[in-house]
Amino acid sequence: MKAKLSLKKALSTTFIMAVTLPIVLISLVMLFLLTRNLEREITNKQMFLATALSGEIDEFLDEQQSVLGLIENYVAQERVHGQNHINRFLQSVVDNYQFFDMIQIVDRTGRVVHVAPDREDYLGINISGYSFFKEAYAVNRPYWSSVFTSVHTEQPTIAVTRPTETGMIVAYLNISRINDMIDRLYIGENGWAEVVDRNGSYIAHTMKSNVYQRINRKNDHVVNRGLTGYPGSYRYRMDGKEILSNVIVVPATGWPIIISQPSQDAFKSVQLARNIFLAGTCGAFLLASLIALGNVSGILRSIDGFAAWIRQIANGDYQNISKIFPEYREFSELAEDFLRMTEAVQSREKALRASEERYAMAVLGANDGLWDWDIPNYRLYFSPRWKEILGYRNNEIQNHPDEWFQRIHPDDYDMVIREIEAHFQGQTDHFHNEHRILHKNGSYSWVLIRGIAVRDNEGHPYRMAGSLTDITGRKRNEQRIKASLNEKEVLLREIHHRVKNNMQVICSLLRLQSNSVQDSHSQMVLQESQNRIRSMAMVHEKLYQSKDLTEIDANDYLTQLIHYLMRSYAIQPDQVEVNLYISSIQLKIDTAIPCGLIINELVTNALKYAFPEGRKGRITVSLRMLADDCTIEFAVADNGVGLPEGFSLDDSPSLGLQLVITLVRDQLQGEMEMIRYPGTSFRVRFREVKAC
Amino acid sequence: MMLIIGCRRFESIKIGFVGTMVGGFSNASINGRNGVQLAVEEINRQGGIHGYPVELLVKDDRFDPEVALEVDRELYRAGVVAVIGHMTSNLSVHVLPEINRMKLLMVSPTSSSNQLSGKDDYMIQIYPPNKAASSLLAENLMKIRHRSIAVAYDLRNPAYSEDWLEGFTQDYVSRGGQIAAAYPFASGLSFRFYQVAKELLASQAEAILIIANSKDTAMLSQQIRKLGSKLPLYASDWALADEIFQYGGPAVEGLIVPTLFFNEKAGERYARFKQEYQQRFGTEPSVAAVLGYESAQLIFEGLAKTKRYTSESLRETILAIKEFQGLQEAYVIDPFGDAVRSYDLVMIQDNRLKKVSLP
Repeated sequence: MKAKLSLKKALSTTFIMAVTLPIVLISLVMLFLLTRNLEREITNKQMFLATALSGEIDEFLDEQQSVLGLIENYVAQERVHGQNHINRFLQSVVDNYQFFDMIQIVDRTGRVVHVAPDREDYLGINISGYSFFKEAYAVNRPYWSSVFTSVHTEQPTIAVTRPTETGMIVAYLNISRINDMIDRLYIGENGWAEVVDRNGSYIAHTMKSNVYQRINRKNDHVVNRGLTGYPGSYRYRMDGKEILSNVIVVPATGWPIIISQPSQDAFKSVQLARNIFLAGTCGAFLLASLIALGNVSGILRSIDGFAAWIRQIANGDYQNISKIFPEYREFSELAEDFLRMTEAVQSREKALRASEERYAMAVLGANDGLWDWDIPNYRLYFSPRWKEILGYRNNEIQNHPDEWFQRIHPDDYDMVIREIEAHFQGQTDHFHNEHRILHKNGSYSWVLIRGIAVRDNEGHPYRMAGSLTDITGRKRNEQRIKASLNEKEVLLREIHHRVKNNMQVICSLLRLQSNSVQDSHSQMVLQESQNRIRSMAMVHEKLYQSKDLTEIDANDYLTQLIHYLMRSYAIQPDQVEVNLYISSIQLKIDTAIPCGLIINELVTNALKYAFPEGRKGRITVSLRMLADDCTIEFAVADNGVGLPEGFSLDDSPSLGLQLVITLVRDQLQGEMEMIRYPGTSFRVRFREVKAC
Repeated sequence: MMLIIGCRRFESIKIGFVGTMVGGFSNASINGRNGVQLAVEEINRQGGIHGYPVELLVKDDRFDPEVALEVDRELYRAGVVAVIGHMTSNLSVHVLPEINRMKLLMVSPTSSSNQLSGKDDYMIQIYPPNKAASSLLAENLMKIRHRSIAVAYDLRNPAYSEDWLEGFTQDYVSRGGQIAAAYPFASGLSFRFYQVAKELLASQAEAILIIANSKDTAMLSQQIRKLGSKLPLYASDWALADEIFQYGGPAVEGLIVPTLFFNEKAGERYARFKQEYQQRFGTEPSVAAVLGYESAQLIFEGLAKTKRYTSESLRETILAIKEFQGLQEAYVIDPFGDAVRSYDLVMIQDNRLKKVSLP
């Protein structure tokens, strides 16, 4: 699976973001504050210019009125000075105050009575038709007219009037003086100043032609604000450009003064600062990007080196690993660790390969098929050998569990599934199962399936793999052997049965023989022989009745034997009490027959000789395994009259005892001791061949 | 390439205004421009022409024939669909061949020279030819038996003043009148009207006719009255601008002038225009302002109906429309682009124009 996220992008982005975000944020905040303060400062500066211009104009207007005041005073003394003096005085005023193009003194009807400069055309004419004349009369105080084209200069002119007792003084103000004031202002490269009259016509403008053409700006938003008494700073759009204008009104005349500048120019310094910030931010961004890319490249070079290593190692090439020299200590350490890991992997791979080879050889040798079950995806891989065992070619069986399960013999199916489930549930460490499976030829083969499940952290199996061994041959042999064993068992049982029958026939013959013999000694000899044979027959009887035909239960056998002897010698239980303490020890035939014969002889002796003349007594027979679990001890004891004095076992003429001694020594290879008081006790010990 | 240019969308319809914006001849032009400007502002407030705003380009011809040609070419290059101007006959006569060559439609509000009339050209005159005015005056002078008259006329606008005088003289003399004196002058800053007045009075004529602009007419009237003369004063229609009252004052009381417009004639349309003009510019509209406004209205009406926004198409459309509604009366533009409208004689009384009815 290929990850979508690029490490290079992630590292670069994170690094750049980490470095540039604070820079950008700080820059933005700084920019905002700087812009706001600079803009405020620039606006204030422009407003200061407007205020200064207003002050200058105000002063200028004051000066005019002062001059007109002087004239008024002078004219008031007309009688003193005389007409000619007044004309000369007016002429001197016009000469001295060049902003006056002409000064007229008019009477109440509007007739010009004095004029300077002295021009005939303008003396004696009537100027009452001028709108300023009517307006000045109406207000009856110093008055500044709107702009009109002067008849004598043909230039835009303002009339300044001062009412007098006899009429009024009219001075024609050359507004170029106000234009001069504007010209002295520096309002950037593209800025301009304008002064408009109360009608909205230009009195002064940075671009003079606007004044000469008497362009009316009453409709202009900013001019209108000034005319309607709303001075202040305004930003608006004009001809697609944003303009910053500051409006102030000359108090005496109500003329709005407007200082304007394209915002782009006005805020050039703001723009410059903004650009510097922007350049700085971009520079920081670039620098951060370069550093990030440099570092990322360094890291990625190292990672690429590692990737190349890993690819090389993944391709199994351990020999020509090119050395890389990472730029960072951490990578250097990683490289060293990686080299060590590579060596370890190489060594383990060698070991694994060897192991795999051994395994492959073993599998080959075992001639087993392999299977590998992907449990969650329900896919099961079968090796070609697996398929071959069932008679199929490699392409004839798909990698699907059903290929196995559907071929299982119906009688075995439930058992197989049960055991698989038991293994899945952890009830068995290994899965080990023999069952029949359908061969391609239609027959069933016996197979041994061995496997083990691999589990996740929660113990759920997710994979199971193992082998399949064809055990059809072994199963056949097993069945054959089993049949043969059964056959032998039957045969052996039959032999024991026949031996017992033959011995019983011998007993019967001896009993018939003894019946025909009158001699009691002979009868007793025959009886004893009969009992001895009987004791052996009883062993064979027990053997063929036993399960495995090799061992008999000592307690069962000896109890029956002793009861038989009691019956044989017609001993009444109230005369001789027999106590048996015989453990249920399994005795082999080679042990059981000597033991039976010895106990037969010893019990017979006790019955015959220990209790003469109707004497009552007790015979005790015991048999047990000693603590070493190896030695069997049995004893026959009576509390009878005991053996005669001087009796010696070795010298005893009794066939019985001789038989006992021989059997103990030769057959059992044990030892026997005789205890003479009270009564007589014989104790035999021997080592059971099977147990030890 | 032509196709691309042909398909190019334009953002506004440009019209030009040319007049004498500075100096002694500037009053009519400035008033005329104000009239045009008011009309443009009005149409733009109403959403322009078919959605296109009208853009007004103003040029100053400085009362100089060469400058006049130059600014006309500049406007042509700027892509104007029509030019309103020039405001004096002299300049209009001078530029006529060039505008015909450029096929640039020119609508003159105030040019009235007879030299401009009766021609199949690219100039449309809102103002009727001088002949109509001068004939009316000559006819009436004879009615009131002024048999001799002294004339002062401004040489600086000869296409108007000489044309006017010539027309007047023909009519007046043919009716038995006599031109006692014809005094040409070229007023300037140092010009002495007083001297002209004296010479006019010295001619012993029964009346004085002044063919000059409002300012010069007013100044000359002032000097005549200053000299104590009570001779009847007459003036050409050029004199009728707002300034005549300002500069003339009581001296122009009784002055008789042939005119197209006067307040008494005014209807509701004019009253509304006058109110708006006063609100906008702070003064009463002069004749030039009225004519400027009407010129713009004529162009807008033509533009609203023309198929293409070109001078040629616009001219054809205007000539086809033929009848237009002026501010005070309806008028006709004849196939030569000359206005056909009637004059009245008015007298200045109490700073107002009053129609004079002569027996």
